[in-house]
Amino acid sequence: MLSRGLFWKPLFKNTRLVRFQSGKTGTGPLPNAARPPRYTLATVRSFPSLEPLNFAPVPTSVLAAPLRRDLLWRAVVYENDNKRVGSSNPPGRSENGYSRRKLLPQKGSGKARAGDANSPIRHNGARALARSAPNDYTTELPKKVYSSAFNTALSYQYRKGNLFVIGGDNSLAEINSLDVNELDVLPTSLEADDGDLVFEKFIKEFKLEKKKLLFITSDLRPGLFKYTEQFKNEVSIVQQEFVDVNDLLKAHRIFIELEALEYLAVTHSF
Amino acid sequence: MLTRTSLSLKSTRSLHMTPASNDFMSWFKRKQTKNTKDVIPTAKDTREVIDEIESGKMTINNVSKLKLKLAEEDFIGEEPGQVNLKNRLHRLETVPFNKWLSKRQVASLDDLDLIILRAYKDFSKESGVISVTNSSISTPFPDLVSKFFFTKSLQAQTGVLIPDYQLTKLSSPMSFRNYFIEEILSGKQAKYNELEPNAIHIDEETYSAASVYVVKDVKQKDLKKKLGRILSEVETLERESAKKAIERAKH
Repeated sequence: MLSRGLFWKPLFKNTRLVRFQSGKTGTGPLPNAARPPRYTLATVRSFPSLEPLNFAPVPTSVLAAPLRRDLLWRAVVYENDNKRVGSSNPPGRSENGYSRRKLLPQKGSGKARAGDANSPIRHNGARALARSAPNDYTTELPKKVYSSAFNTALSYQYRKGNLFVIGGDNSLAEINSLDVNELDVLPTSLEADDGDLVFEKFIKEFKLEKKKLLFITSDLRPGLFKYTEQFKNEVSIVQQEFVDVNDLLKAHRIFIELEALEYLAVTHSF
Repeated sequence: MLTRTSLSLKSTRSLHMTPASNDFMSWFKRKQTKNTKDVIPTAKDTREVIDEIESGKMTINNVSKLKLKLAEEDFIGEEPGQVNLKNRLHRLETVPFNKWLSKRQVASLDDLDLIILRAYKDFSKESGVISVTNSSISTPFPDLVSKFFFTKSLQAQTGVLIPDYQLTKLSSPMSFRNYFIEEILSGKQAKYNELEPNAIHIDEETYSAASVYVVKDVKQKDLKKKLGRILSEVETLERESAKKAIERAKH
């Protein structure tokens, strides 16, 4: 009955690998060692009422990874470096406007040796190590480090109780007629264009006023885009392919579709 | 010989002096009151005015002269912004929404025990369990499906959303009971402020010594509320006194 049990199979294999990593040097795990849990539960809910529909077992490597602040730091710095765009465009000595004439003879003037007026050590001279816009500040980070930082960020929000999984096709409970099993906002009837009121009601019901909300969707959700316009400063809607660690850490509440969680779990498994 | 004709320029400063007036704004007020006095001699009964208009005594020109001052008391009704806000709030209240969580949060241990028993009976179909001290309450859930139905019923009736992390860790109805006692009924969660997650809450009960006195924390929200109330009270008093002063000046 539990949703998508088959889907997680390759991930369980990975968790097993992680589990026995420490025992590789010895003959095997200690006979009385407790087996760490392999999965954690995520309640799959309907939207916007957040009524539970099912439980989904999620590998502990995805939602219960230990908190590694160092990895989070590296991932955030990496992302922010890659976001930077510099427009600094200073002239180098070949582009600076002065003549190439040597200002003084090499010897005999009694002054220090001098080249042309474009020299970077002179007043109004050119810039040493000049660059041309757009400047490149990108840095690199091993893929495994980034992925584990991503899982750490998700796990942190999960442990804090800020992660809500939406969706589920084969639910244990029936979906209310006012709810949907995806992250979309629909008006209450075909005639009434009151989706904004439904979203505002959702905000009020769960006391989410002035909270930064992150919606991670598996596909474009036009209703969600349209009816969250009033709260556009607090609400950010990101498709699964474009989520980054910064988004996950800055959000007060994360609403993620089950499909998107599966996609991210597979993308960031190593 | 060159003669030099001098051209004498006489400049007169076109200044005129008036006595200094410190309250020159009163001129506008005087003008205003004078005009209104001319236009509206006395307040008439509405019927009389209607009769006059119908009989032709009062022409439309006269009516157009009846201009009211832009004073607050001359306006009737509500501002359109306020009306729209009222309408929106009303629509927000009435918009259909699936409320599966109880509006009232569980506040006492007796209520919690009742809820736990009800939720347990729902999934186990055991009618013999009448107390939370029963050993079957402490046994772990047989499967995830029964755990799901128990936790859903528990959340719906208590009005508390249990984080998934806790849902995973807690394995029996009794462990859920203990969680509620520690986190909800103790007031720990109510004190928790998301902006200050590591805040330490000290109260009188923390210290047993009589010489230690803990000054109670006043929340920023409460401070603002109190200030707002005082300011609104002052505003109403000022408005009343201004009204009285106007009334006195009229009579």
